[in-house]
This record gives sequence, C-alpha cells and structure tokens, in this order.
Amino acid sequence: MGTLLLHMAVRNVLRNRRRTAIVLAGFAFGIMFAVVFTAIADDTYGRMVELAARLGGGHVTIQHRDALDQPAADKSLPRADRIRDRVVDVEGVEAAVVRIRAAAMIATARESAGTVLLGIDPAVETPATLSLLEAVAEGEVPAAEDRRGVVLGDGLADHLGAGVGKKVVVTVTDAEGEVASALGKVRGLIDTGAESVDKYTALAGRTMLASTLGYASDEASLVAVFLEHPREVDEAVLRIRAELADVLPPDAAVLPWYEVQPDLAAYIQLDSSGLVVFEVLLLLLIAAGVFNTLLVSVMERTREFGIMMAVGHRPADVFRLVVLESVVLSVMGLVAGALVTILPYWYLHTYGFDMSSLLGVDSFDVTGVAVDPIMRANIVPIKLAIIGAIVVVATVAAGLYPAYRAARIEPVEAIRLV
Amino acid sequence: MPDDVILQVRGATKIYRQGEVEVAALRGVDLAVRRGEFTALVGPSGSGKTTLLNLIGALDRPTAGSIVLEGRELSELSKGERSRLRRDRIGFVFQAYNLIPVLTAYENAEMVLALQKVPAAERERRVQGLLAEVGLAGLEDRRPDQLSGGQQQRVAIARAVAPNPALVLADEPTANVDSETAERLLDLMERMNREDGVTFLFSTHDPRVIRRARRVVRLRDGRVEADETAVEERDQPVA
Ligand SMILES: Nc1ncnc2c1ncn2[C@@H]1O[C@H](COP(=O)(O)OP(=O)(O)OP(=O)(O)O)[C@@H](O)[C@H]1O
Ligand SMILES: [Mg+2]
Repeated sequence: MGTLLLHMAVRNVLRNRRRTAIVLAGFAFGIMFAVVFTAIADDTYGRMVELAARLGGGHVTIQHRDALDQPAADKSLPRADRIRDRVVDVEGVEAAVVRIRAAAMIATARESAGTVLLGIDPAVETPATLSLLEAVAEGEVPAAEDRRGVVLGDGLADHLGAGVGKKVVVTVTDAEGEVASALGKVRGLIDTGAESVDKYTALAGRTMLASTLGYASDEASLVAVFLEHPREVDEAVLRIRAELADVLPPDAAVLPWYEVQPDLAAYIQLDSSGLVVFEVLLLLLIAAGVFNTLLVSVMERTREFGIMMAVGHRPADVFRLVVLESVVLSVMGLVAGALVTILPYWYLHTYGFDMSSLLGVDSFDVTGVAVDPIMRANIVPIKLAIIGAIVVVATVAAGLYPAYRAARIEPVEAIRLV
Repeated sequence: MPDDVILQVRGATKIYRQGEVEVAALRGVDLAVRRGEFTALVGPSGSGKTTLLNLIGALDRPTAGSIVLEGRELSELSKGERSRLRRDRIGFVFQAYNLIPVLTAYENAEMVLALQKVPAAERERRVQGLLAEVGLAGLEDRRPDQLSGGQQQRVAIARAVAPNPALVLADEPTANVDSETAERLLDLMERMNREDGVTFLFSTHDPRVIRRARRVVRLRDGRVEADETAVEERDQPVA
C-alpha cells in the first residue's frame, strides 16, 4: 500500500493547482522572511558582539572574579602576562592582550570628569583588538615608552576643554585604597560616533597606569581574549578554564562576553525573542493556510474517502493518507521556500543593504556599542535547520485535524452523497 | 446444499431515527444467497434495497436480526474486522463515482490487492488480466475522468472482483449509464458469473436489467415481497 498511498498523496496535493500554488506561495515567502530576518539579526548580533569585544573586554575576559561587581584597583589579575602567553596557545584563540582598567578622574584647571581609563600596550594593540584605535580623530596613540601620554574621547575633551597637547591630572584610587595622581599630556582624541563612548573613555599606556596604581610589573586588570569563532564562546571558555588551570590565580574568572556585557546580551535576547514572536506568527499563518486547504480538500473528498473505506481501507489508512499529504505539502513548501529565499539571501549576504540613507545616520549605538547600519544576512546554520524543522512540524500538525476528520467519515453516509 | 449458502440474512430490521421520527427501512428481511448466484434485488424507490446491501456489506449494522456471511455473524465483528472482511470477502460496485479520481484505471483496479499486500508481480498479472477481461486493455493509464461512465463501471467491477471475494454487491450499477451500456455491463457481469463463478447481488429498477437476473428478490416497504428464480433461462447450476 505504501507507494500507492504516496502516489495518491502527491497527486491529491497537485490536484487543485491553484489552491496548492497559493499555499506554496505562503510557504515560500514565509520561509524567506523568516530566514532573511533571522539572518540579518544574526549578523547584527554577531557584529555587535564583535564590536563589544573590541571595545574593551574581548570575546572572553579573564579577570578577578569580583571585578565585574566591585571594580576597584585591588581586584586585579596577577601574572597577567603569563596568562596571556598561555591563552594564545589555546585552540580557537586568535589573540589576547593585557589591559588595565581603572575608574579615574581626569581634570584640567577648569573642569574634571569621571572616566573609564584603559591602560593598554600600544605595541600590541591594533584596531582588531581595540576598535577605539581606529577612531583616533586627532593626534595619535602614545608610544610604548611614553609615560605621560593620554588619549581622550572627544566628548570628554570638549567637556574638559582639553585639546591635543594640553596637560591633565589623572587621579585614581590605588591598590591600597590611597588616592594617587599622575600628570598626563593629551596626545590624541577619539571620535567613535557613539556619544556614550566618546564622553567617558580615555586611554593611557599600561606602564603609566600600572605605576600610578602601584601594580607589580605583571599585574593588570584583565586579559582580553579574541576568538576565531566568536559564536563558539562557550566551548572556548571551557577550554581556557581547563588548559590554564595551573596558571590562573584562584580568584580569577574566565568569562564569556555575555557575562561581561549583560546589557548587550539582554538586548540581543530581547531583540531575538521579538524575532521569535514574529516568526511564530508567520509560521502560524502558514499553518493556518495548510489547515484550511487540507480541511476544504478533505470535505470535498468525502465520497472518495467513503469509497476507500468501503473497499477495505481502515480509518487509520485514510488518516495516514491525509497526514502524508501534509508532509508532501511541507516538503514542496520547503523547496519553494528555498527557491524564493536563495537570491535575496545571497544578495544580502554578499552585498548587504545600506540603511544609512533610510535612518539618516551613519551609525547607531546599542548599549554603547556603535553598529554600522549595513544590513547583512549571515544566519547561524543551526537556525536554518530549526526554521525548516518548525515548518515541517507546523504543517504536519496543521494536517492532523483534517486527517482526523477524514478518518471519521462514515462510508454509508459518504456514499449516499453523489 | 447448505454448504453452498454464503449469505444468510434472518429477520434483518433497520430503523432510522431522525429526532422523533422513525423510519423503518427494513422490517424483518430473510434472504439466503448461494455461491454462484446472479441475483437482482428490485423494488420501488425507498423499498430498502440500498439499506439491505449496506447491511450485507458490513457497512452498516442492523437494528435487529442477523446477517451471517460465510459462517460469520457480522454483528459480532469489530470495526477492524469489518474493514478486513470488506477488503477480503466483499466486492463493491456503487451507482457512480466509484473510482479514486487521482488513480489510473490500473491503479484503481489494483487498489484492494495492494491493500491486501498481494505481491506486485501477482497483482500485475491479475489486474492486467481483469482489465483485458472487462474490455479495457490499452486504457490502463487513463484517469477516471478520461473514461466514459460505462468504462468507469467496468474498472469498478474489475476492482470488486480482483480479490476473489465471496460476494459482489452492486447497488444500481447501471443507473447512470445508457441502456446499451447497461446491457454491455450486464453481459460482463453475467460472463464473470458464468465463467469465473463470481456471485453477484445487485439492485436495480431497470426492467431490462431485471430480465437478465437468474433470481429476482422483490422488496416493498422493507419486506421481501417475492423471490423468484427464472426457471426457463436457468443454466446448469454452478459448482
Ligand atoms: N440515513 C437515513 N436516515 C433516515 N432515513 C433513511 C436513511 N437512509 C435511508 N432512509 C430511508 O429508508 C428507506 C429505504 O431507503 P433505501 O435507500 O434503502 O431505499 P432504496 O430501495 O435503495 O431506494 P432507491 O431505489 O431510491 O435507491 C427510505 O424510506 C429512506 O428514506
Ligand atoms: Mg438505493
């Protein structure tokens, strides 16, 4: 019976071409929107994470376990340079840099402002590890041997009235809890375009900040680790924890970006749940189309099902036939979806779509992370499989009730209807 | 020869209830059918022909009375057993639209055999033979809508006969075709009865069809009014 039933299912689906075409169009565009929107979101999230990582903490941050909640100079990471040297050998790690991060007051004669002062090693940092470095608008980043140079966000510089060449006083609370100051000289300005960044960020050489804070030579705040595949951050964290067990101080923590930047993680979570709601609605619409089509077609075929049962098919056979029809429909729907999706996806993946003219801005920022407004499609592969699976499951689920109705047809009644 | 009796209907009663109204479609029908018979069930519209055929075909259950087919009391069978009985022991031919529209003539004729899981080679041998026998050689791949009404009924007959059932029930098989086609269908059924020993029980109003039957059971108001065997036309009894 198997193959004959399958033939019947396929032919029944093709029987009312117009109706099937409408349902398949629903599938095709539903799948296309689901895939393209998911792909754009995935790409945006990916870039946000990338930008966030390059804004300070890396994809994985190794730091004192209390540094997130109580950032203070004494929550430092000893042996930072050894940790860095070891972590770059872990599989999947692309780069790692040592940084000091301190809350600092920067003052001129006229004004003062609280900032997050990042102490970096200018010799090893590039825009790939610190995006701020590509936003240098004026002047330059201090050289390695420069023990006084600082770089200010341009919003901060405006507020302080301190341009390139001006002197500033940098005041921090050191590891002993004492207030310590150092004289700095503005060497450059940074303009990222994100106001929340430009107003509160300052850079200095790691050595300058370390000596002001009273740190030992290999002591720092954190090691920022960059991964080859940021989407595999959880695996990387586990590998780093395992392989560095012997060098990590007992109070050090190895944290994925989403724990270091919970705001961004929450934003992505919220945004993607909005997307899930949208996709569920879309799939419900598809399922409603399938449901309606199958139910109408079952009703139209009452006599046929009656005949089938009269000559010996069991209700279960009829049920199976209609379910098989929904499976055939879903497979055809997936094919239609793939055909319709492939071209727009390819275009958005390869060229992207520049939204800046629509938005009227060059970039927008999300929790302090500046995102450039080019929509690109770059779906996480597993999500493609999930969308496909949901389409099939929803379609077959939508076929269950029509199948049940078909199976409940009474042959005596059905045959009386000519 | 009681061994020859394949169908024994005793006191079959069917009462339809529609709210307060009761319609007695059958009021105690007794009927025995022997292997190899070619019997017409006749009677005016509403006399209960379809109702009786549905009971015999295990499509419906009597309100009272007993129906025994090949020694099995139908009312004692479960739903699944009735399905199986219809599949294996009964052939059905209805008035019209017997066929599954998406299947070809060949596939329609093959359907019950496929359901019985008869091996493909055996199925092909039987179906090809039957389609040739009903005069449809060369039309195997046609869909029902590409066949005339008479041709469709021939496919239905082939489908009904294919599993070698004990009994073929045909409810007004010629009602939707012209009289010439009706005669040809009767020729076919008669030949199958004579040459292959297929037992037919068919209902009809058509006097020309009635004339072709060897036995005529007359129903009126749900009762058997007369039961006549045409002596002069009868051939030798079929074994
Ligand atoms: N499902 C039903 N509900 C109520 N009454 C019914 C039902 N089916 C049949 N009847 C009634 O039972 C009686 C017998 O009907 P049946 O269809 O068996 O007659 P018939 O001899 O086949 O008639 P026809 O020659 O018109 O086909 C009729 O009075 C009919 O109205
Ligand atoms: Mg009738």
